[in-house]
Amino acid sequence: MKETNEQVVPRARKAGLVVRDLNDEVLVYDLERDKAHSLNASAAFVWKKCNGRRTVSDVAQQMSKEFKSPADDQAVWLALDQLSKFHLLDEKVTRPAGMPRISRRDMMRVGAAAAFALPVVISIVAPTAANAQTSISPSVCNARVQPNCGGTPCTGGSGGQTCQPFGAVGAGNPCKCQ
Amino acid sequence: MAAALSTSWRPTPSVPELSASNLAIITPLLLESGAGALAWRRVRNSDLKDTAAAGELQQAYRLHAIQASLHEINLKEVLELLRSAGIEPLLVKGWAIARHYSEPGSRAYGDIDLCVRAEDYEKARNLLSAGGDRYAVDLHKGTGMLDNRNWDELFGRSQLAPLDDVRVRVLCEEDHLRVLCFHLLRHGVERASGLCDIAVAVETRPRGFDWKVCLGENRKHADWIVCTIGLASELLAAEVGEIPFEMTKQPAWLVNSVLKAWARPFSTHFTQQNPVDSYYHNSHGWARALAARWPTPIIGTVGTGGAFNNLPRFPYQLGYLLIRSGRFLKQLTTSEPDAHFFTPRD
Repeated sequence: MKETNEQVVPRARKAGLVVRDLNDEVLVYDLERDKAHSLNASAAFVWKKCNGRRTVSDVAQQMSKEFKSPADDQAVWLALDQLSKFHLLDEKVTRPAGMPRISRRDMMRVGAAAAFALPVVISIVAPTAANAQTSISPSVCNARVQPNCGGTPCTGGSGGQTCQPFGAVGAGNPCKCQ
Repeated sequence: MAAALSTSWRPTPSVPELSASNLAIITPLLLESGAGALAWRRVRNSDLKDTAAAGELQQAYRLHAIQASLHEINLKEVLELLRSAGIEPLLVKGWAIARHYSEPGSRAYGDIDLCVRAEDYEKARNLLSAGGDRYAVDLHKGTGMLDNRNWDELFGRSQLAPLDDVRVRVLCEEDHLRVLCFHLLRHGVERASGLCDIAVAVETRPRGFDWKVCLGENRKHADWIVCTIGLASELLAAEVGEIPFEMTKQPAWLVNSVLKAWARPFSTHFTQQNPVDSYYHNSHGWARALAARWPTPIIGTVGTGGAFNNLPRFPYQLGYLLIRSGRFLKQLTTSEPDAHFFTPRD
């Protein structure tokens, strides 16, 4: 039997995440999955209120208060669906029986939650994916040892070089830009 | 680039006077040079904020903000690791200057530049190597790569800056501004974000900042620093405030050299040069190799310890090319990288 809104008590995931608060959004980097997400103000509000004790209705009430605008359970579920999809909750949450899934577009159409931006979670480029394109300096390369030379492009020097095993091949032997 | 980045580091940057089409043109350059987040801080309160180019800048801002958090975690771990072995490292650039920006993520940095006492270098290197690729540390043996001031002098004036529950040893503000200027000049002021660092260091300098310590007694070096600050003022509208020296107009070649570098995609600064031996069997090979390695006026002047005056730069550029050729030949015979790249000649 499915729970009701009064029984669902979502809990925000804390482990393995790096969180950075910015002006009007919260950035979350998932260390385990190497995924980064941006939560807009309302999604971040819902996420931070999910402490494993508050029900969906509690969060909706607090949301109304915070944004000085009526927020119903649907708005909270819109956030929870996305948070769940991106593994930002400790456990997946399921909508209660009889509560249909309403898309963000539908909510906007009926004018729900008009006074605040609807909860949105988007994925952004993960740092390691971006770093993979970054060059390293020769001294960073020199500090590495085989087999971790990585073949990363090197900066400076005579250009066009990558960090490669230097001298005899074998674990623990040095790397050099060449 | 200059128009997009002017005042971008401040808590409330001014709105840029840029058209959407101009922003679209310079956005790839901004992103490549690591200045995308700074540019976003300027356009986010303007009519340009909903353009596709602004969207890319915003993504860069988000990415740099997360990277800054990851770097801070890494930095704390590295400090703990080295300190547990009795090594006290000195952090330069990167976080040491990023902490002065008004927002996290404004200033992108790829690695952690740590200097250790020469005697500790091998030990530190082995400790960090044990972590494989985990820590993006650029380890320096002493401070010879940064300044002609010795380790004891710089370390003696260093200070501890708080990072959550950890204290990070950084250069004093005077030495750091000096080192930032030298580093930027040595690379020909190729990164616009590097000049933003100078602007930030100057604008956030503490009361009682000792210009004598910063500029030092070598007149030529002092002149380099003053010129770099002048560039930040002229190109990025940095507010210099009260200073005990006169800020004269920058030589035309200096400003032109910077703007020319900023107009080129940053990646081409490193990828245009093929290894020298790839030119051996080509009839025009050596001419091409020479053209690819021809230093910019700034790199040539700094590399030969020249003065920033209005004289032609050609002799400095040629002189520096000869110095580099000498180093290259030396490296061929010794197989050792040049440990002291910063070799100003007085």
